[in-house]
Amino acid sequence: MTAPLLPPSVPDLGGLRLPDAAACAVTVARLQGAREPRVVVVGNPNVGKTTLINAVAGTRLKVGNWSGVTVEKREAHLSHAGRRVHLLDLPGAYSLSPHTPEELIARTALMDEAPDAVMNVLDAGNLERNLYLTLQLMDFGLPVAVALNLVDEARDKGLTVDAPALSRALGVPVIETVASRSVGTADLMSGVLDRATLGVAVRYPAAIEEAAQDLTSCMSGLSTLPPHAHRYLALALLEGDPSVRGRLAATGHQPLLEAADAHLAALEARGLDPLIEIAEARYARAGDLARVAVPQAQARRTFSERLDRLTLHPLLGIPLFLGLVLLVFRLTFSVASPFVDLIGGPLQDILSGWASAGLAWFPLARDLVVGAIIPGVGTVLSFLPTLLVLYLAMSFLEDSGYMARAAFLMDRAMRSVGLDGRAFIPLILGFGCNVPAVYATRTLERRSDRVLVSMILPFMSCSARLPVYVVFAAALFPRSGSWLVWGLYVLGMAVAFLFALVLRRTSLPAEGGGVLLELPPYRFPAWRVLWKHAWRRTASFARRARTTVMGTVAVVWLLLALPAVSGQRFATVPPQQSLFGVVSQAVSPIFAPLGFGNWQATGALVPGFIAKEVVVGTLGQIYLGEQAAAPAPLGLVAGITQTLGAAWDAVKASVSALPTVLALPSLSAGPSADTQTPLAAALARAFTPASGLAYLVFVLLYTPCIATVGAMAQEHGRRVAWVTVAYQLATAWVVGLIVYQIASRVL
Amino acid sequence: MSASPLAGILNAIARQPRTPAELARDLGSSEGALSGMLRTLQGGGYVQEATQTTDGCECGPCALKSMCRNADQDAPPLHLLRLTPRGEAYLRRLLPMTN
Ligand SMILES: Nc1nc2c(ncn2[C@@H]2O[C@H](COP(=O)(O)OP(=O)(O)OP(=O)(O)O)[C@@H](O)[C@H]2O)c(=O)[nH]1
Ligand SMILES: [Mg+2]
Repeated sequence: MTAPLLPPSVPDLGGLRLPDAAACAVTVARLQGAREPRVVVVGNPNVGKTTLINAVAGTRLKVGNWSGVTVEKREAHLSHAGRRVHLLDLPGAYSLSPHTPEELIARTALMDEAPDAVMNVLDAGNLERNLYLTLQLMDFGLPVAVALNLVDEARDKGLTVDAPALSRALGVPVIETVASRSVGTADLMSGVLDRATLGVAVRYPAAIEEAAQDLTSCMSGLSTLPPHAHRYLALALLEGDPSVRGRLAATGHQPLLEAADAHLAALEARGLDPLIEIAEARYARAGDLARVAVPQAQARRTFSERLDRLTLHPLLGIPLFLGLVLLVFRLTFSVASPFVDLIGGPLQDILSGWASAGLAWFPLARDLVVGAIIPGVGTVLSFLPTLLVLYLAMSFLEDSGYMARAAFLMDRAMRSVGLDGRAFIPLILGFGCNVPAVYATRTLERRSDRVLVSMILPFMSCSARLPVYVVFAAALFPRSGSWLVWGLYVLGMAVAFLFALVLRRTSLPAEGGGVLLELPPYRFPAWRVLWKHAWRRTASFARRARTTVMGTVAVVWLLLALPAVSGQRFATVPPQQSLFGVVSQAVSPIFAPLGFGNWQATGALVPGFIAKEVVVGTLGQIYLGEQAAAPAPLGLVAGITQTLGAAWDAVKASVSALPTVLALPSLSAGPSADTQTPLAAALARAFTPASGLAYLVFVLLYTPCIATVGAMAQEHGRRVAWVTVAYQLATAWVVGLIVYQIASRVL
Repeated sequence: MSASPLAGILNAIARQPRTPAELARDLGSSEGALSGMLRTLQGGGYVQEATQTTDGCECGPCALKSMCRNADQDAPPLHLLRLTPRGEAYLRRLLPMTN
């Protein structure tokens, strides 16, 4: 057994001083002899080897800022301090285990060129990776000197390498250089010629060291193998290196190969895998050396990494996410509500006035437009500003890179309830619209996961539900609207997770493959791109208002116009006695325990099945249609001036509300009671805060819209779709009941 | 990850296939430092590139497209790594208790 011969100055990182015997005939003295010393230059690709040689030798070998510029050996001669030196430029190699032709060239040169010394060039900014090769070099019995190159770039990255410490730990001279500016090159040449020495080698696990020693002693009598390569060859044999085996077989070293095989079999019998254990020991030591040389490496992180430590923090991550969502709603409220009030109030009044004057001779059409389309579709459209701001904020979170982090957090939460981690994609998509989210469940591997995620997904509050929350918030909670909306979103997520927990059939961890997230670096999104994204989504909401909402509103108008009681006539029947009113009234007792057992509220829920924003449309239709008398028409000029004046007021209100977004203690973001739209005022009369809250909870949780149900039936079959409709109705009723019973005692 | 960095990588990949960037984040290391180790592990036959399945999923309208590694077919393929039988065998020997 060899005893380590560590001088006291070397920090004991478990390294091994090779006995001088391993150095065999190669000695530093030869460098000072008469013969021109041969120095090989080795290092990872693109670390500046050729640049260094050109700098010291004044040659013009080819350099380039990519790997693999030097693909064969190149030579240069120079004289340093009166001595002639022969430099051999080798192609870049990450290791001496030949995975590439370049690595094979480098290794062959080290074995066969009988170099007098090795100049190992390192990238100071990437020490840990570069040191692997250095440690392989240490297994050769060759004097080594290290050029710590690219220190300028490392410094720009905030890395300062402690060259003396690295030198002590490696046991060889380490000289800092900036090859491209010829800094340190003279020192380097002195280091190579006068001080290059055998370094501190890696100490491998005992069983492997013993086998290597044994193989080395087998080689000692063989003049056919270069003596300085014995230890390296022994280790390569234990690593099963095919090219070394091939070479030995071709040169008639069969007994050596047999000895190696015997050792390998013995090691394997002891449960050892030398290939990986040798590499493991080198990497572990490379890591230790890097930490000795760059102690502050851990401290310096990129901006994204530092931010991620906060955003992905196991405890703070979720609260931060929820806080950001709250901020989004506060922004949405304070910026958008003046415009919502404008469209839902003065603008609608002016339009109604014009429409009723223009259609005065066509009472039925007038009724449809003024009593249904304008209050119904108009109410839905009045939320365009809200959605535009919401979509802008969401696009900001997506493009800045934050949404990927939110998904990462969800992934963690999902796995903690035993679901496939990838379930977060459909769930996050669900905040936008549930339909594409259902299709996105296809990325999940197990059918049970796909079904389960689809079933809990509608609890994620899609953007179509936001108008309902906003109008009720304006009516009943004008001072804490954003908190209310935030609370509903959080409630939806909580219910979803609760069901995931209850419904999951298996607690198997997810298996790999497929979609995983790449966390992009944070960046400030371009406004143009944000605007484009947000505009596209807002436009599609507006398109639905023109089609789905318009159609539903027309059907509801028809149902409201059809008398269900004899003696009444089409279109003049009071709403309570219309088909719609009578059926709604019949159903409404079901909701009495939830506090909103009136026919108007109940009735609005039914068309909400078509699309959830239709709930506000229908409420507008019922409550505003009831106040039948259309406002007196304004003149065209007066109408336009009044609109412009109101729009200017809205802009001012919106801007002045901005500073309140961040004022967390004040709950005042949101419309103030005195600027309520007529619909909000009507709702304030029809609902109490407790019944309004229960209504919103019901809207949040009850059956997904028909498009989502259709998507589910298509993806998972009708049974799943119907079960979802039924169980969500039940859930919505039960949670609504609980909320009402508590809220009516508290509020 | 100082004592046995390679085993640390194999362990992380065993739980879920990872890209080098994800691994670096998980292990508190850097991609630069890991690249050599991954090369060694791949060269030694302990890890291999996992094939990705997009599974006919519609990426067109997806809001998360910018973050999804499967979305853009034109983007250079990501190196998603998973264990080979040899890698699994080595891990099993290291941790005879688990699995
Ligand atoms: N900033 C800086 N750039 C350097 C330094 N040394 C080399 N470079 C640049 O790094 C790039 C690579 O240099 P080369 O000399 O071709 O590297 P190499 O190690 O020979 O590369 P291969 O032959 O491909 O393995 C070139 O663009 C050099 O100008 C240095 O110390 N500082
Ligand atoms: Mg070169």
